[in-house]
Amino acid sequence: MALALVAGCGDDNPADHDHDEHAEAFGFVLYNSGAEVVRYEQGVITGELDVGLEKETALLTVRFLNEEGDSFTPDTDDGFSLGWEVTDSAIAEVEWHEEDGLWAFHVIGEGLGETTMVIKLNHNGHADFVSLPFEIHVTADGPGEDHDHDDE
Amino acid sequence: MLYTTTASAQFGALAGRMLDAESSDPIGWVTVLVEDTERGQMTDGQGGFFFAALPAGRHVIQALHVGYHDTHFAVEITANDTAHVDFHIGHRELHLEGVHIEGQRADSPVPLYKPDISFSGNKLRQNLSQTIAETIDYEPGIAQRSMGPAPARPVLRGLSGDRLLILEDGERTGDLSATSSDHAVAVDPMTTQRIEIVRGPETMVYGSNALGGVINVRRDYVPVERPRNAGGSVSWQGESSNSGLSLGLERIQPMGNTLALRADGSWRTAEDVLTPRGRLVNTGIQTSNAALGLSTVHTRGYAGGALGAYRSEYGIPPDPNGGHSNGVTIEMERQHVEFRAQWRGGMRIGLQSLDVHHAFSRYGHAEYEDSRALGMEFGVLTHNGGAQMRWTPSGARQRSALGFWYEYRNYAAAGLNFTPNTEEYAGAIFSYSAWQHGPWQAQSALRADVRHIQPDEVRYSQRVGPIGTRKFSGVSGGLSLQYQLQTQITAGATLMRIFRAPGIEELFSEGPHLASYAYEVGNSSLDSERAWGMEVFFEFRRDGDYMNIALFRNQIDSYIFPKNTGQRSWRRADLFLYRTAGLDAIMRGAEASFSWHFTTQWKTAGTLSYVQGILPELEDEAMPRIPPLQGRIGLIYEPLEALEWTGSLRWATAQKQIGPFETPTEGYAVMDLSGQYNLYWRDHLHTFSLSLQNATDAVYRKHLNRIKELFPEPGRSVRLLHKVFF
Repeated sequence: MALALVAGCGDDNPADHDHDEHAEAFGFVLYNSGAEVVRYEQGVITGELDVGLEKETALLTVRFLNEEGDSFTPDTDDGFSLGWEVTDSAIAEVEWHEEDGLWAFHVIGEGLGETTMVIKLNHNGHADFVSLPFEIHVTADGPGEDHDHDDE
Repeated sequence: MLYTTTASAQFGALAGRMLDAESSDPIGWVTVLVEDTERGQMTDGQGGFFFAALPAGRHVIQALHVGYHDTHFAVEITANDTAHVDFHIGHRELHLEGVHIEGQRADSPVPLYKPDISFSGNKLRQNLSQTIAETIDYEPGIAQRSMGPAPARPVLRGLSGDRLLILEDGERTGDLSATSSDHAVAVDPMTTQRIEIVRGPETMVYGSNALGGVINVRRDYVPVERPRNAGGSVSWQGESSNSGLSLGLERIQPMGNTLALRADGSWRTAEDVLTPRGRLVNTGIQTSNAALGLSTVHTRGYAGGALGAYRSEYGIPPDPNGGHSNGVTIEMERQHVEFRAQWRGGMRIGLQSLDVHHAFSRYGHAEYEDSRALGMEFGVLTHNGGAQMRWTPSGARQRSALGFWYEYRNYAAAGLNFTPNTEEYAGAIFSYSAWQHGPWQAQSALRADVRHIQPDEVRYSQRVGPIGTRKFSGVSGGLSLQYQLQTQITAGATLMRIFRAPGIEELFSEGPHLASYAYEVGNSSLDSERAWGMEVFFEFRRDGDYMNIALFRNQIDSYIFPKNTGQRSWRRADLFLYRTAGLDAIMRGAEASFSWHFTTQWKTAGTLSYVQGILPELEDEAMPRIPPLQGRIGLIYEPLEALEWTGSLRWATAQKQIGPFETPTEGYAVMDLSGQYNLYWRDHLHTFSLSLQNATDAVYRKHLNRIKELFPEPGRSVRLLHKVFF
């Protein structure tokens, strides 16, 4: 029995199976109606987001960057999805609509002040990519369309 | 009767009884070890034991039992004869009778593989904890690396990883505890017979890289002796700080005329640890393990095998720097099978014994984020084995051995990482000798190793470097000299040369490792570590009292460690980037330990450990993760032979010699109280160990705890262990 155990387990490494494909995301660019507003590349964040109190931004679109700085969109059929985290939801919140696509969203100004946000690229329940945080400023006269909370 | 009382021309036998020195009553369940072999057994209920086929000549017998002083005896074995000896062991005093001698090492021949520190019997039960690391913490030179209680691992003289080998019955455990602070040791101390810590030239028998030393956890999977009668033990332990409960069972049984069967198992459960600042979330643990061993034992040796299975699920607390907010759960399992055989010589070439062994281990562990998504997964298949020839003592040469060792590892990593699957082939030849001439004793060892590391892909990584085959080889060795200045005083020095090849993870790892709070990047261009270790030591012994002092200095070329770059990973900016570096290092320090009787009932004992590490290439920057000056001092009261009370203070000074991005740690002093009692009842020996850890519920933090900023060490905890020998 012992010899059978040895022989049977000889090739059975519990972690030796097909590796899932992981996205090679090393950065991102955030566009507001086609204009670049935030860029995260080579470990450096540039840009910030402004929105007015009780207003929502125009549609924001994320494009991920590979290690060479080239833009790409992950394949959702492989289980990739967009993720985010806002430090203080009393200041700003993210609103996503299915009709806008998986890589676009709006930011709502909930309260006056500043907070931060990170962008994630999720894959089958865990984050393949997590960015540095960038700032969101919510001001009384900031830009955006009036936000209708009935849409939520 | 299994054994005859006559033996071959070069062998004799020993039949003995262990008796109480004062009453002459027989003492059951005494652990009897023949120090210059790996043979040992427990006496039956009437104190009797029998060793067949001991090589003719002088042997040192060690007796270990609760409530009695650990005692050494020298016995002379005559060829073709059986020595019948009564051994008297005392509660404290040592008795001279017949061929017995006082238990002073200076008068004893140096046994092969004699441990520097040994935990067994009383001492083991008093300190028995959830992990090996916690059990032996505060011994001279020993600290504990932790990340929550479950993955704790010992650190010896500031050295960690595989520079401190942890073995089970002399074999590598096949786990990954040496590679990362979140990886636990796949050994549960509940079924441990004893723990031996070996340093100096003897470590060359086990590996070339153990500059810190070797911790050999003796479980005795494969029986090497056939007991006269069946016996065993049942134990349970409870702990209040984590609502923990552990159960253990072991039994050894003679079968037929030559077979010995051994079975053991344990089960452990614990919830989150309570600290004076609240509950440390995600620190629970569930562990189970079992083993079965069978041997055929004959006059000229034995052959046997064992199967074992180990499973554990434990938590890693949340990352204080935000990598994962709810912690990580790790599920680990290990199966192993081993074969051992010993043939005891009789050949004219002077061969005393030949040992062969082979073991296979299948290890796997998976790390799950709080969403139950798989973060990382590791698997290791390990085959290792070897042979060792021991030679008959001749003249000044007391012990000597020549052997070889081999290992094959199949390593795989899956999940969110880019570390390539890798195969590793290693081999070594070694020799060891111990000499005694008058007041001089010497030990010497020499070892040559080769290691071939072969990833399953050849490519270039911008962060790791070229990934492909790497080959390493090196020679290591050691020399230790001791001189007996007087009957009670010994002084000596040890010189070691160490070779250590980088590991697979150190070379090729790449990816986020949430459970270790790091984005890990290897360095495929690393060179081997090569080190010189020097030590001078002094020892005083008188009856049961002793004092040891040692000073050491280790100079390591290309010391390999994960260096915090202080930068965030571009891919996972929630994790700091740790890149494996190889830099020259110097480590120096001191250790001391003592035990002193005030009266026949009162004694004091203590330890002290200090190590300092610097990186000369970085302008003597302090090495990271070096423990501070620390120790323990205790007062022991033994009003009865079967009863012992201890009050002790564990302490450490502040650690302000820190590496970059480390934070300093304040000093502390923590009080513990414990008591031990043993009782003979209905032919069974009951032992009770009751302890109150951190009696004042003090808030304190240990420097090597990765989560010290999150929570302090556990608060006040009551621990009770009851073990029954039958």
